[in-house]
Amino acid sequence: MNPVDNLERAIRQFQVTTSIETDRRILDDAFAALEESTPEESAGRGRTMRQIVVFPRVMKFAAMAAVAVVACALLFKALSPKAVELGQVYQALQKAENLCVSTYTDAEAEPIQQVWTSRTLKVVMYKSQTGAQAKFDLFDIPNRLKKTRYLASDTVSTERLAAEQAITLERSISDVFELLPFASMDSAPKGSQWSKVPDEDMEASVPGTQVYDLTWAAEGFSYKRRIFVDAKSDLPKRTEYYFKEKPQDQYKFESMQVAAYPTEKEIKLLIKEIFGPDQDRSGEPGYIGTPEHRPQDTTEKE
Amino acid sequence: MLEDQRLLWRLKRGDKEALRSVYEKYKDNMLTVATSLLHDAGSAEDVLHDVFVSFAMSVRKIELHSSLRKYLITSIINRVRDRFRTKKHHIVELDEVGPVSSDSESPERSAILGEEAQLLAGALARLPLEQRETIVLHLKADMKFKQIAKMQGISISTVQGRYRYGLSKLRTILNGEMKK
Repeated sequence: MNPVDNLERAIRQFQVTTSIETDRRILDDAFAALEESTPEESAGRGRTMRQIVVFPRVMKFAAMAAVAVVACALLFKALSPKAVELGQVYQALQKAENLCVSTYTDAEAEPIQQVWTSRTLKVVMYKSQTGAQAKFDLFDIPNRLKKTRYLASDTVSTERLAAEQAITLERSISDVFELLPFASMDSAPKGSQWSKVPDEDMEASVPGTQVYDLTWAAEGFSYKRRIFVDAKSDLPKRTEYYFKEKPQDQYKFESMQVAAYPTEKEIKLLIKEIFGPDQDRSGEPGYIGTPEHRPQDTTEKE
Repeated sequence: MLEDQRLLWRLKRGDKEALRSVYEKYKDNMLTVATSLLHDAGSAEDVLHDVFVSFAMSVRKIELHSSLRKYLITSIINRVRDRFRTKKHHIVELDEVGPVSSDSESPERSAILGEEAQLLAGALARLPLEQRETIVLHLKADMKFKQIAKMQGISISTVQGRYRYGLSKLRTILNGEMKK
């Protein structure tokens, strides 16, 4: 064998790992830097002084206009199919107890990532990579555990979740699962638009849905989220993410997320298949074991 | 690439968990590149710290045209170059090289590099910086010769030459170390 080949392999395999103290120091400083660089996002969205002062003055006229708009809306509502507002989709998502989001790119047959979230069980499970390389990460918030399983090695490793990480995770599962970038048009950037896509063929591609486009611009880029909303539940069944760098460009497809709403029982069963029975999941950090069964194919696709 | 775009998008909204994900995903690769170039664990960790905090600080301005990994590795390379410029680091002479040095006596840190890795890191440190950088960029950052040439502003043949000479010299150094 060529010694240079060995040398190249040795360099490729050469790996230095950070210590826990280093990780803590860097992340603490990086979090502080992030808060400094994105103060409005970190502090929440508050009304500006101008909004507070101007609001009462315009309120009277707005109220009158609102009465007129409501009257018109009631008239049209009787004549046209129910239109769904972004806020309704957001509210429906907030009420969902369990969710599975599978993310696809155009060229790939399998999802590049799947995330199962259960608000009632307070667990989040990620599947990344595909086939034999698949990796499952389970974040069990009540037990403060993170469990990882690589399908190829067929072993499960467990580590303790830091308190801060558990809090962040708990907060994230009460979020809207990343399917919607904004809670309502009021919280979207100025100039954002929510409009129904008048294309019956497109609606037929995901039966029982109405299709809406949410477009917005931020930091010079333009974004479009196409959302297929279930006509009965107002829940998104599919979202497509588009992006363009310049206003004159065509939107480019980036990814697609397919949403399913499993029951708590289904999520428990899936976790059991991958990580073993409940009693194994409550083991101490450092536990390494082999689950009893190989998981079934967990791929979900419409 | 796509996952990175999403992480960056979340980061721009101040999502700390996205920042943690980026760190967990790339920290070892970044630290390995820094250690390979600097041959000093303490300085390499400082470079990782500076680059990552600076990344978090300027995340709103970042426009990702390639992968996030390439962006972060390039930032590491630039920071290492700055260190060499400001501290006037020189090529380490053959007799000067010992184990990867550290300004900390932390047992965790001493456990980070095994004996073989120490040997390899020591041998890498004896190479001229440009050869070391080329080897590290190609093998540790998975950059193609064409990308390295563009980054360093030199021709591809020069990059290939540096790579070949660097590997050859590295093999000689390691053979010498083995015979000791």
